[in-house]
This record gives sequence, C-alpha cells and structure tokens, in this order.
Amino acid sequence: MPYISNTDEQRKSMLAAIGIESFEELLDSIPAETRIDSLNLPDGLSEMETLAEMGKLAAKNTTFRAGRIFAGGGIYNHYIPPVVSQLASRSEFVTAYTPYQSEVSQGLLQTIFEYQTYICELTGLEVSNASSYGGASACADAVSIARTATKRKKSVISSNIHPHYRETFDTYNLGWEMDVLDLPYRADAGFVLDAVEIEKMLAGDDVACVVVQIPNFYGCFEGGLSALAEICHSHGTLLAIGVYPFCAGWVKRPGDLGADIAFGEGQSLGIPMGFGGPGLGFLATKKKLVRFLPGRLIGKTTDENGRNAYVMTLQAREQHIRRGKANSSICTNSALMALTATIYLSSIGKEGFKEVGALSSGGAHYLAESLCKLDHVSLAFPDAQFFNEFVIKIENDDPDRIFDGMIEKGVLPGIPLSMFGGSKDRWLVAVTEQNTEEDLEFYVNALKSEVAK
Amino acid sequence: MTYAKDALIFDKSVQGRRGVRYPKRNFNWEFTAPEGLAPESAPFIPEVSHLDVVRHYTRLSLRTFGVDTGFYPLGSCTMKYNPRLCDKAAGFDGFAGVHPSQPLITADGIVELLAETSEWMCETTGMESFALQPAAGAQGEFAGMLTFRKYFDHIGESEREIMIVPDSAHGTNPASAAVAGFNVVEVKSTDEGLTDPSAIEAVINKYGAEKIAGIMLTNPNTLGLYESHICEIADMLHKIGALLYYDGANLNALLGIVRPGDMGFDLLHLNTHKTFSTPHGGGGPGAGPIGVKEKLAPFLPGAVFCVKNGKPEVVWPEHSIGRMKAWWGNFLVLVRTYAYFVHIGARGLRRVAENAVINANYIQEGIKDAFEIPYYARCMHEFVASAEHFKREYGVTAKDVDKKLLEKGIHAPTTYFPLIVHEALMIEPTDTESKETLDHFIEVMKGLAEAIKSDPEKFKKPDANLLQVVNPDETAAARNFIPRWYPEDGRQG
Repeated sequence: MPYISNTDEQRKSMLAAIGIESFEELLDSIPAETRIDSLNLPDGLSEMETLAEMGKLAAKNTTFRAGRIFAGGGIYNHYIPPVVSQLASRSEFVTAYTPYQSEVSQGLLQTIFEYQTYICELTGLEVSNASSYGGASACADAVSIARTATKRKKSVISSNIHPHYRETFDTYNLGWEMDVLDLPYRADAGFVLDAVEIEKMLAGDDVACVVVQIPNFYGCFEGGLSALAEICHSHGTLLAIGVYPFCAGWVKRPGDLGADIAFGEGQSLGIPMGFGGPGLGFLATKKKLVRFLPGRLIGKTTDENGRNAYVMTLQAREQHIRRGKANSSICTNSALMALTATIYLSSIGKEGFKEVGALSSGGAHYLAESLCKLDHVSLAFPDAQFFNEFVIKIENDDPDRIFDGMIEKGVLPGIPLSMFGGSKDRWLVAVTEQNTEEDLEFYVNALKSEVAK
Repeated sequence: MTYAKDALIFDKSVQGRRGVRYPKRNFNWEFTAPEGLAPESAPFIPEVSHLDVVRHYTRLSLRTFGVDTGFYPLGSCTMKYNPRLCDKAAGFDGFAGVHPSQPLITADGIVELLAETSEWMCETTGMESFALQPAAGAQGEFAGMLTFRKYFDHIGESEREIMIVPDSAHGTNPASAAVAGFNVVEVKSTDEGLTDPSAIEAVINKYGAEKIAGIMLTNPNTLGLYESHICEIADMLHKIGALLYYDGANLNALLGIVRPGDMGFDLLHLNTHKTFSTPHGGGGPGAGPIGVKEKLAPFLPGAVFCVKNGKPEVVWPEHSIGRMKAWWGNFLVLVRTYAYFVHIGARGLRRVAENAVINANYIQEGIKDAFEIPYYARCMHEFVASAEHFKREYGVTAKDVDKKLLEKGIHAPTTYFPLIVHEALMIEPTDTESKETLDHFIEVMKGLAEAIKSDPEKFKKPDANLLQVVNPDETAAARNFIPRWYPEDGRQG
C-alpha cells in the first residue's frame, strides 16, 4: 500500500503497545451492523499505471495551441512564466496549512501580506482579505459586507456582471433573502447608466449596495460610472465594483471611482485555466468596512525582540469565534493561488504588467477591427469602448456550425452567449498577449472562410 | 544600497529593473480611457529581476512549515503526505490547459474523470449523488444547508428553522447554518464527550418537532470519538421529518470501515484536502463536494457528473439551489483526488483508515501518563489532550506547549479546540506517519511534561534562536491594524 509507512511488524508492535491484539478491537464503539466489509471499488494501480491512466483521460480533451485560444469570460489565457509555477510549487508552501503558528510561518504570512498589498494597489482600496474562493463568491461576499454593514435588505445589481456571479449571488441569497433590483441603464444609449433612475431607486435610503463590473461581462466600459459613487453615498448605499486586474493603470481603479468594495477573479494572474478552477477570488474594502470583511486577514506587528512579525488578525470576525453569529463560514480559501498571483506580479514587474495590458488590449482592438471588415460579422456593441474582450455578431443561419468549424481549424473562437442564455450568433471574444499577430490573422481568415461556407 | 533581511518584495524595487520580457508588437493602437475613467494614478508594481524574485520567495518558503518540513499533527486537519503523482497529473496540459467554456464534447476526459470521481465518492460514503462544485469544506457546508432549505421549501415545510449543532462542532458548522438562514441551537455533549440523544430530544420538545430542520454532526467527533448513538439519533430525527448533515472533516478515520450514508446521514461534505490528500496549500484551494441521498439529489448545486448506463453524463438537478461558483468547481483539485483514488484503490482506502486510527491510539497510549486526556477512551483518528493541569499547578498553558513543540521542529496540534476541553491540544497524526516519527513525538511530549515540572518559568520562555518570531504582539496587530505595505513617501494606495 503506497504512502503507509508502518510495516506489518511495526503494526503488530503498535497494537501491542495499545494493549490489543487486533485492529478490530479499536472499532468497538462502532455498532457492527453499520460496518462494511469492503468497498465495491477497484484495487489500486501502481504509480506508472496511475499516471498512464490519468494521461489517457487528459488526452481525451481537446487542447488548443496557446495562441489559438480566444475564450475568456473571467478565465483568461495569459502566459504563465515558468518561474511562477516553479516557485509556487515549493513544497513548504504547498503542504502547509493556514498559518495558525506564526512562529514557524513567517514566510507564508509575509507572502499573504504582499498579496494584500498587491490587491490594494490593483483595486485602489485600503484593505484586502487573504483571498476568497473565486470571483463569484467574492461578488456575493461583497453584497454580504454591504448587507451586514448597512443592515439593509435591498441590493441593486447590474444585469451586465458575469452571469455566473449573479447566479452564485442568487444561491447565497437563498439564505439572506434580500430584494434584488436591476441597475437601470439608459434605454437610448446601450451601456450608459441612467443616473435619474438610479437616484429614484436609491431614494428610499434602503438599498445596501449597488454592484457593477468594469469592464462588464461583455467586455465594455459602461458610461456614467464616475458619478455613481456620489449618488450611492448620498443615500448611504455602498458601491461594489468588480474588476479585471489588468485594467489597473489604464482606467480608474474601483477605489479611485469612490467604490467601497472591490472584487474579482484573479485567475489571470499566473494561474492555469484548469477548466475554471481553482482560481482566486479577491475582495477589498475601505478600512472602515474591515469588521464586515469575510476571510483571513494578515496584519503586521512586532515581536518581543522588536522584529517585524506577521500574524493572522481581527479574528473576532471569523467563524471559529463567532460561530452561529458569523457573517460567513469561509475558512480554507485560495491561499496557494494568492501566493501564485503574488509571485506572478513580482515576476512580470511594473513594465511587464503594463505590457500584458497593452498587448492584450492592442491585440483585441486589432482583431475587432479586422473582423468588422468581414462580411456578415460585426461588433455587437459598436458604441462601447472595450479593453481586451468584446462581443461579435455573426449573421448566419447556423452560427453553431461556424463555431464548430473554427474548433475544427484549431481555434477556440470565443464563448457563444447562448451558454449564458443569450443568443448563439453572438460570441464573447477575448485576446491576451499569447495571441500573436499571426494568430489574429489566422482567426480572421478562418472565420472568413467559415462564414463564406 | 542594502535592504533588511526581512524586506518585502516592494522594498526591493529598483527603477528600470526588468522581470519577464514580452514581445514587441505593433498594433497601431493607443488605449484611450473612456470619458470619466482616465486614471490619475497607477498601481505600484515593483521592478525586480528574476533572481530577486527567486531568492525572495525561496527564502520565504524556507520560513514556512509544511508537512514536507516535519510532523504536523494538527487535529481535524488531516495533514498527511500529499502524493506528488497527483500534482503531476493535475499539471497535464489536457487538464490544466482546458478552458471551462469549451464545449463538453471537447472535454470527454474531464467529464469522465468527474463522473468517476463522483462514483468513487458515492461508494466511499454510502451516498447516491454528488455535486463537485463547492470550493472548500465550509462552502460545501453552506451549500448543504441551502440544499436542506430548498428541500423543506419544496415539500412545504419552510417553518423548519432550527439547526441543532453540538458544542464540540467545528465553528464552520454553526456559521454555515446561520448564513443559510437557520437558527442554530447548540446542544451539550455527555460526560463521555458524545452527542447526547436526550439533549436533542429536549430541543425537539422545546421548539416543537415541526420546527426542527436537522442536525450537523461530525463523526468521529472533534474529540476523536465515534458517536455510537448515531443510529438512534438518526431515527429520532427522521421520525420527525428532520435531516442529518455529516461534516466530512474527520472521514479519514472511517474509510472502508463504515459509511456516513449507512449511519443515517442524508447529506455530507468532503474535504478533499484532508481525506483525499490534495495539498492544503497554506489555506486552500480545497474542494468541498457534497453527497446526498436520492431524495435530496434534485436540489444539489451546479452540474452533477455521474455514470448512467455505463456512460459519463452531466445533469443539471431539477430544483437546484443554483451555483456556488463560476464554471465547474475546483477541477484541478479534483484531478488530484481522482488520481489518489485510482492509485490507492479500495483496499488502500481501508488501510488509510486503519493506520490513521492505530497511529492516533498509539500516541494516546504513549503520552497519557504525561498529559491529561479528559475524555480518555479508545479513539479514532485523533484525540484531545489537555494542559489544564499544568496551567493549574505551574501556570503553563497549551500555547506554551505549542511553542516548545515548534522549537523542536514539530508543528503544534490544534490548540484551544474543541471548546469543551480547556487548554485543548488536539492531536491527529494521520495515516502516513511512521512509528519512528510517532515514537519521537511521544518522547518529546514526555520530555515537555518533565520540563514543565522541573522549571515552569523557563518553559514559558520561548527560545528566540529556534523560532522565527517570539510572542508577536497580537493585540497591537488588531488594535493598530496594518493591512499592507506602504511606500516610504507615505502615499496610501
């Protein structure tokens, strides 16, 4: 049996030391009628056979060349420098648990402190937790913060946030039972917030928070965001903004816009796509909301000899102290993914961070422009500005055939919005620095020939 | 210029220094911020070289204690060896390189893997259907509580709002129940440390049978004791239409021996990072799949992967509570779980439980004369010792014992939990540790007991040469919370 260290001989002597002859005697407290003799499952395989078996399953999945992936929707195909995966695989990090004992965990605690700093920098907010499960739960937690901080039972959520985030919120809300209203947009102008209607919606001073996403799920920057915080705050409503991390520096960060809470998915910071998980939820707030922020927090202090020390702090917020009065039950989070993001940001550095944004955004605009020149292909939201993701519209009787045709050609051309209850002739297309000029040309030509079929 | 030994990566930034080099491309495109969104400041990202980064994080890894560093008997956390072959499999491009939006016909292997994982989990736990989406144990608990709620709403019994939780339960239990909208009622354990059927009966009588939603139990409980009245408790609750929730944190003790489904539980969560040896990662990512009996299957969260007529299939439950997460779940964690299943097999699972139980009892016998064990009995995978007598006689606390263990290269047990044991030291050696390691631990613990008696004052003084920090000022950390690094120019964010 792999991984069991004790030999039969040792087992015997250990049983003797316990004062028994057979292992079964240790099971006296388990009523015999509920016990089983064996599990109806196969026997184990050797290491080589196991890896071969896993390899077979992996080989059954279609993988695309790095440059030929144009799907995003929260999970992006950014380049992961080997230095990131190798350092994040250091086995001390991988096999540690929550740093309960700061005396032997300063390394891990410091990485989380650095992570918290990065998230504050990327969001423009003052306090970040040590990580959440993912973008969706971070979004739900953002509402939860507002709900407990304001003690209000209503929230206003944009219908243009990631549909999975909204669905996840709806699940969480089964327990909270908040009333949810759609954030109003101007009917005449696409993604432009309707300040007048928002004002009316908040006028009762009973809305806990407004939730928007930058860019929104369709990749678009919405209009009227800069005035939103003021409207919210004049009614005691908190503003929560979801962000794509690479937008920092190109547009105002949530904190710069006056947001009280920022959240998002951090998978794009050095974490593999991995069929969507594990990713990294980030969640940051203004300092005044820290009492309501779920999850671990690391703080800096000193030890009795004056040395710098990092510790888990403000634990009175957490489930193990508050138990039935807690606002969240989160315990294990995404620490290793937070570490990965930290090492990633440190590795690419200031210039690399800008270049990833520039290459992704530049490539996306180049692709969008080229696609628009094709017959029967257009941008679904031509008036809206975008960063590295946009929606195209394909005029064809059978857009699914075209999608499959692209896959046949080795291109994952985006995500049909039909996956989210939208129409199948619209695809959400994302570009990263991994898509070269040649890949972009290939996409254009492939789509041209598929549409012409 | 030099920087302090414990400098942060931000302190090491030097203007003009480069890390990863990206290609130059000319897209003839200049990003202009939309109206009202033009930034006035940029995020601070340090400028450091690859070597700076490698040295920095390698040093930090060396200042981190993991299972790979040494014995880690952290009770209820099951800190066992994490097989490298599972990590290797999770890194295969056919898993790690797949985008979650890919049509499932391009992900046959993934669907098969997830369906098989569910089958293994069903058989291992005695459940009939599994949802793999929850991201960690506590999220699984929360999803489980919502599943209960949705079920009761569906059958027209929404007035069931009382969730019974023993006082020995993990904090996540009452928290998950409360966040799902239940009213938590705690029940006291018996003098033997077990859940008391008569205390449950009293709750039923007090609030009324029609108000009781169910109970959340860990079995073996957090004292490491098997709840031998479990079938009686299950009958009592089922008779009034209530449900039983099983917290899978301690399942390592029972693999292949007895199954929660056979004890009468209706729903459970698993912690793959405990029982099925996926790495703890310094606090995640985990995976917290939930398994149910047939009647609760229509309410499960997310997509359910199962095998039907020999074929893997994806099902969206009819009355699902909804999703817990974007996309499918912590897939690469589940890849490791499946590799673990395939590698150790049915008999391996049983051997895991046997060795977990033997190892715990062996330590308990070894240290029982040195440390008090308030609920002494044959234990399962863990037991709880107490330093209360040392505190009473010598002023030495469980925390002091922790620090001495750390000085000796052993991770501390779970301390001050469960709450029903004063000065608790909860010890779980796990299945993968050798007799030699356990003998060493026993020797160390006995030595500590002697050291307390011979010089308690010295014992209370941590050795600054053996620890990274000594008595960090936790009060100051909370009172004057410093949540991040700040640049020297005083700019904040």
